[in-house]
Amino acid sequence: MDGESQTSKLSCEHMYSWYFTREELEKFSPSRKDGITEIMESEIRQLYCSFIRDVGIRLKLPQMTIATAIMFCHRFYLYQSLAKNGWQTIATVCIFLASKVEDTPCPLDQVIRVAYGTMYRRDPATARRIHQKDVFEKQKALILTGERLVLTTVRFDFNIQHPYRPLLDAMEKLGISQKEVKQVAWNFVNDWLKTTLCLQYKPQYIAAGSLYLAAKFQNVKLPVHGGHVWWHQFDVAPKPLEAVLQQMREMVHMKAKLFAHPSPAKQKEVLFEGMLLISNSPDSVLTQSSLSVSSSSPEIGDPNDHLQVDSSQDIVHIEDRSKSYPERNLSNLTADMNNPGKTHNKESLDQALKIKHGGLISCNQQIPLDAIAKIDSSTAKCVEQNIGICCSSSNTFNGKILNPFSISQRSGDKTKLCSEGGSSLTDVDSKSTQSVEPPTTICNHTSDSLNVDSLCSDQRLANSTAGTTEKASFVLPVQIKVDHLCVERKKVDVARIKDLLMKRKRRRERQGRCIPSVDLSEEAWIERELESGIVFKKVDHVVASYDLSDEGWIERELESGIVIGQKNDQPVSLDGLTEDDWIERELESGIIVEPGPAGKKLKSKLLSEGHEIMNSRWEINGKSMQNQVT
Amino acid sequence: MDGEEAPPGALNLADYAPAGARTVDCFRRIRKIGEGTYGEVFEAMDIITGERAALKKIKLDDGKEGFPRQILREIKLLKKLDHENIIRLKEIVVSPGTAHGAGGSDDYMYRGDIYMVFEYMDHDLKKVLHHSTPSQVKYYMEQLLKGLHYCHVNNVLHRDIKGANLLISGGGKLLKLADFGLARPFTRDGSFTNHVITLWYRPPELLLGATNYAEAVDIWSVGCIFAEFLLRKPLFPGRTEQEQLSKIFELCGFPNEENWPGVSKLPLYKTIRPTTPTKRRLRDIFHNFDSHAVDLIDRMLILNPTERISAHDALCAAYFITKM
Repeated sequence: MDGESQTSKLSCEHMYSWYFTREELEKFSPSRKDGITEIMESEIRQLYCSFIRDVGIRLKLPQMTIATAIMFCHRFYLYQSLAKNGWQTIATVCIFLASKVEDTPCPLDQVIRVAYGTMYRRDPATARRIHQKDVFEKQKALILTGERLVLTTVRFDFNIQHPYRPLLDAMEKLGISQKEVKQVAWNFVNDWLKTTLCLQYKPQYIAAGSLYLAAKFQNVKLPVHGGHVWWHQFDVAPKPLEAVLQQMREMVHMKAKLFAHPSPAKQKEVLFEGMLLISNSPDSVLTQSSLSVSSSSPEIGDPNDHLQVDSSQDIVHIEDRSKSYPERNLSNLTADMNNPGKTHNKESLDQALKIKHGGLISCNQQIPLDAIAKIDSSTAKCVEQNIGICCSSSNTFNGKILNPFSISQRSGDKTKLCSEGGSSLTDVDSKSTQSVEPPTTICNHTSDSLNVDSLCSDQRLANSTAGTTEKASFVLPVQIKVDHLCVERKKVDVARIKDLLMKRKRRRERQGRCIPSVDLSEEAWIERELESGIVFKKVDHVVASYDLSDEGWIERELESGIVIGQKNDQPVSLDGLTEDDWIERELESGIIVEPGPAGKKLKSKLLSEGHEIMNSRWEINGKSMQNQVT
Repeated sequence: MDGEEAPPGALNLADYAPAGARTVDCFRRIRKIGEGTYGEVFEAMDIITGERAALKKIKLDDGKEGFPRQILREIKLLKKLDHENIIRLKEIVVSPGTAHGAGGSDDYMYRGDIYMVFEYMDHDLKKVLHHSTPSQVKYYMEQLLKGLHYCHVNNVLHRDIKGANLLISGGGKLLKLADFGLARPFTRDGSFTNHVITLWYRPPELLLGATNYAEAVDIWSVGCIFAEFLLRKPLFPGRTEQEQLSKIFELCGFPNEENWPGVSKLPLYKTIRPTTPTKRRLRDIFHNFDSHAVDLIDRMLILNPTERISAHDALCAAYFITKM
């Protein structure tokens, strides 16, 4: 009631502003009236941001266009409910609209096909239906109607500025030449775009806050005296800037704190939000490694088991809430499955799957119901462990249960792919390992813990391996002596990390040879990106020039997810996915971005290899299940 | 109680968002004041505030690619430009369609017309172009150049400067640049269509097929307007593109590599033939007018676009500085 009157008031006053306080956003969102909680809204926000990014990359749209599309979507849901407007359709409309607004037009037919395929990438049969004329025409009509709805809702206001431009301008004026600071600041801007910060503060505040935090993480001092005080380079006032920084610190701190030492005493909501963050980024692997390394318990496996059980219980709670079921713990759920009401439970699980729309995967889906039904009470704990493993690894391994044999098999497959594909395949592999870099503080922590002195990306690869090893140990009998376990883990870690570092080194050497030839296009691309975000000024327009001459800087730019426009003829990989996951996602989506002839050959080879991997994975899964039953 | 997110195909078409674009019903139409290729324009009044406005109906195409990109660009530019000599776009309003026309589907509310709402101006420059006193001419020219300079500083080309697109209000005291339908942002090395600007006011580089052009195209149009003020008739009233070029070269001389370096490389240069006399004689037809005015017109109508005067420099010219 209160929210409703407030909304009416806004309407009556013809309040033409796109900026609100955090409290206003939380309290008066139209989705709230339809029973969508703040947490659910935040979850869906992540989903449509990722969706827009995925589709935008596949359509080869520049980053500014993707950012504009995300902003249109944010603004649409300021005034329209998530319960009444499917985010998949609205997100697709925003991509189409942004491509026109930013003068990077993309034919509607193409937008529809790629968006539809991305929407149903886990359902190949449905995804293929877009090729039917009636399905296509219906979808097209939906998008065209949706466009009118979005245009009306955002009041035909197409002048959206982004923080990137003021950020680059200020760094140039301040003479900041450290590549790491630029990279981290840019990554921060990308991160804030997925939050409501961009609905609370104007772009220059986001830019200023991002630069401040990046400089702090990199121990670079910004001028606070004389004629070049750092915040004077942005058009900002001190008090609101402090408020922005406070929120940014909260977000960064929450993330770091969760990684450092989560505890069962935490609020369910906080932990759930943390889990969402984990499931949306490669950090989930990093988290596992950190937990393992920081553990000091004589029973090394216990803290992880405990955390994972808690996490899975939280997931169950959320699902129960979605289904309007009374809360129950995992044990009860397991017990129910042994009851005559098995059919009922199966239906509820199917419903949960639908509700999730390909978001966070329910861990219960990963274990066949028949297998669970056969397990007696004496193995209930073992089931819990497996469920925990599924949850923690959902992002990296799609919930497949792992054991030492599967690790060895996966490693072999990857080696095979590399040897057969030659340098071209290596390039693909290189791209598939690129991902958005986490805040530097996390990397520093990991570096200290693992005593690995290398680039963040190398750390991520190494951590991925270490994480895999750690997870594998969970399925081993608990009776193994602690010392023996430590020794084994150490050997595997060292060998694996060394191998990955050498691979990375060779890959970088090859990249080093390639970079000079694309250096010019990089600069041209940067210039075009800046132009698309040009800010109108009443005084003489100053065009910022930006040099990308440093090899490492270019590599990290690519890692941050900046996409080259039409010039990029190579297959574009998706952030944070390993080679296997990328191949699998491509297969699921059924989309092949049309590469050149050579790329086409490579793609078909990758597809066949992907099939082999999927087959072998299935076999591995079956075998591991047999082992557990035994 | 928790709600559920909407299924993929759901859209809330039952009602307008509370703070979305207003409907055209907020305005009472008074009369139609224009019609043509650009669509209908109505004089109207805001029922709530009593303010007068001009409603310009947006011409929507067959909807193959949804809302027209050209209109998006115009709206984007107009909302960004904020200057007393540039027409102000107040808002965009929508008109619900009729349920019957849409075949009974539930999305009829979003199939109606869309209007751009501008501040109302009494009339356009065409009505006074041939009946202005020298002091009025200077006043209008100054405001025109101020508005254009603002556009150029913000990297916007107007590309359709003519009498019909220059609006006057306040008893003839205020002139505003209007109709940004052909306007676009530009970059130094851009490549744009050359089929813009109404024929009589189109510069020679466009007529010769240039696609790499900049602010100078608008200056040529302003020069033609300025000359028309003085002569009280159009300066280059061609009926075809070929005739337009002939009329230009008759007064401004035939272009060659000497007076316009690079002209021979323009796509359509080979299609023209020199006529006699080729000597520039633009000043000859202005021998009875203010020498400062003639001098400024001469510098606005230089064949070579890189030599043409800029809006800023024009505002600093003796014509505006010297008191009559």
